[in-house]
Amino acid sequence: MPQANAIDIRDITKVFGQGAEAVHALDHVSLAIREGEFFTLLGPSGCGKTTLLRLLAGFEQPTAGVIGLYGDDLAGLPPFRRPVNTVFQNYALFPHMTVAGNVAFGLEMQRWRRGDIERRVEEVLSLVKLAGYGQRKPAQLSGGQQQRVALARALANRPKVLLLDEPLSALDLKLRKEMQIELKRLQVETGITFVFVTHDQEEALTMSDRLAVMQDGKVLQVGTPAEIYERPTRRFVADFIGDTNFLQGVLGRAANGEIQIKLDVGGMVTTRHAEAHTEGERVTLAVRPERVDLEPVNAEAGEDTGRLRGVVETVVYFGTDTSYRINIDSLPEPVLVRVQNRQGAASPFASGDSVRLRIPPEAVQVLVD
Amino acid sequence: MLAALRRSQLAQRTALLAPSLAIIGGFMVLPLILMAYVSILEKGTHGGVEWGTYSAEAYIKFLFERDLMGSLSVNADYLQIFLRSFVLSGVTVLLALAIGFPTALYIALQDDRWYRNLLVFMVTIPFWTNLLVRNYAWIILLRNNGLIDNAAAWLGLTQEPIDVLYTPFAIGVGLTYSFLPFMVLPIYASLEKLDLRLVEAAFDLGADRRRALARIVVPLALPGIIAGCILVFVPCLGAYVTPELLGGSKSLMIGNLIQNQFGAARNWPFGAALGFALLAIVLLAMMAYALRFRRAPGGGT
Ligand SMILES: Nc1ncnc2c1ncn2[C@@H]1O[C@H](COP(=O)(O)OP(=O)(O)O)[C@@H](O)[C@H]1O
Ligand SMILES: [Mg+2]
Repeated sequence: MPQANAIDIRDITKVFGQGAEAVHALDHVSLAIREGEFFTLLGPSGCGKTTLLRLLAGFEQPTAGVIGLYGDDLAGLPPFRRPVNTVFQNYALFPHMTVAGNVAFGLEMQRWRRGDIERRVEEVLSLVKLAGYGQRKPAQLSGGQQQRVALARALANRPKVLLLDEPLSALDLKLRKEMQIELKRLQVETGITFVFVTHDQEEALTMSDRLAVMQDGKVLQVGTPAEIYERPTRRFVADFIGDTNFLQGVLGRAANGEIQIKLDVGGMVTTRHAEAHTEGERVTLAVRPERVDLEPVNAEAGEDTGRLRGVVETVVYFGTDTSYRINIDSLPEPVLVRVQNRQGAASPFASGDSVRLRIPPEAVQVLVD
Repeated sequence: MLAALRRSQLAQRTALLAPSLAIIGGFMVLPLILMAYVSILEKGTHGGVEWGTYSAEAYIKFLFERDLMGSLSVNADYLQIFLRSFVLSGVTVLLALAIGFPTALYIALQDDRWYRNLLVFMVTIPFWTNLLVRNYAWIILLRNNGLIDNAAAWLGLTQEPIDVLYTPFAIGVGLTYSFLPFMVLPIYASLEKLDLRLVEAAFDLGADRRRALARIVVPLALPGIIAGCILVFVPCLGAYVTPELLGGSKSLMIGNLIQNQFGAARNWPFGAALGFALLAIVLLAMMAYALRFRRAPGGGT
């Protein structure tokens, strides 16, 4: 049986304002979010992540397009009738209620019975490891604890989908790491579909089952963290997530499942994927620094396929790996190369050394634009 | 060194407080003492008081009537005036709240800051006109053959004159109108600070508008609501102009009664005693408010 879609977003556009001042917060966005997955919306500030969440929660209405929840059209359904709950960026805890009062609020709105409410509040508070904090006021809690209350409150109603708008952005680094693990645990334990918003690419990669990378109100790419990292299709995606080197070239002919690319800086590389392109087309390549190897220049003479000559500009030691910036003639920016450190060995190359970069076919990703 | 600093701080504090202490002492505490003193004197035959002759007559007169033989019998007339004042003030508070809260909420919900400020400004416009003039205006509106009467007759709503001027109803209308801004402004002040995301959170958790209002908006605006109620209730209790102009001789309020003692009735001690009774009641109300909000949850401001 195929996995059901929890959410179907079809061709959603959201425009704020009118005329010259109109802002296209979302521009023909389509997404399918599967039941029970941890789905992340990743993108820089202002790309429309919050707007998309607010459309799902029902606080805004789309200018055009349809949002389906388990097959039902959500159009016109007010927020309080939607089986989704939100963890707000600023937590939005009710300051005049206790922690237990906050968590019980949604249950009271669903007209649960008193005893059931008490039991459920206990249960959810211990789920977020806040058992015994029920009688405190939100103002008496630390930021991390408030975060947990917000989570507990949103989870108490057993929503079909939980929306989280940058829930960790206000926490310090250590707490953020802890809460990342905690959130992931909660998602697995409850089986609820999470739609998580962040502008932190590392957070997105480590937590998500799948993620959508957004820019300027558009979804550029959707995929698993590995797909997004290994096979970015857009320059923006490759650039936004991790470090990337960009090279220009012209696509050559395919042979033995490998396609040759003649680089502008001279030399050739090959790749295994260029389905969207035709021979002779100008393309941009993305090459991850850690996929490139360095070789001493004297090994073999000549520049065979997949090898480029360069001069080491800087060497930075990072413990687990060493990062090199390599200058290549006629390339405006140095190429970044990261080599894993072997046991006890010092860097074999120093600043000013001539080196050869070996770029294997699987390191070369041809971008769509 | 520290002692010197402390002493100079004390001097500074005293100097800073002196002007307000002098004003409060000279224009409030002293007159109050004087009033307390007057209330236990005997009244003079032609107004004023007999200095140096003490009597509890003023306080007795509030509840009892002395007949020609000098024996006391309970007299509820004054109590009734107090009661009427309380009921009218209470009704005024409720009316002002019923009109003022939605008004304040509407203003607070406006996105456009300029429009919002304009509305707040418009709420304060009545202050620019003298209270007397505004109450006279209500006479013209409410009297038989006045604007409202004629309009109602013209629309065929009434066959007879409306006969509302010089009734407690007219006082209620006039008081509500006069003190409405005192209800709107403090409620607006607390609603303006309200984080609308809390209301969204309530919607998100399944609260419809009514329940979001009852569970989130009203509790968080409660300090403003209570302040507004006190600001309307207290001056209503002592209102003089509105009941004088819009109420008939049968609907005296405390303010008119007190004025009457210093005027036509020439009974200063009784007037002073009435003033004291009113003050005591108001102070009790304020204390209740203070106590309620010291224990208030959420430390509402
Ligand atoms: N209520 C609104 N009125 C006008 N413009 C808005 C409104 N909400 C969001 N926008 C605009 O829409 C764009 C996307 O905003 P948002 O969804 O908040 O981005 P993100 O959450 O990714 O930072 C921004 O340009 C923002 O200024
Ligand atoms: Mg946002």
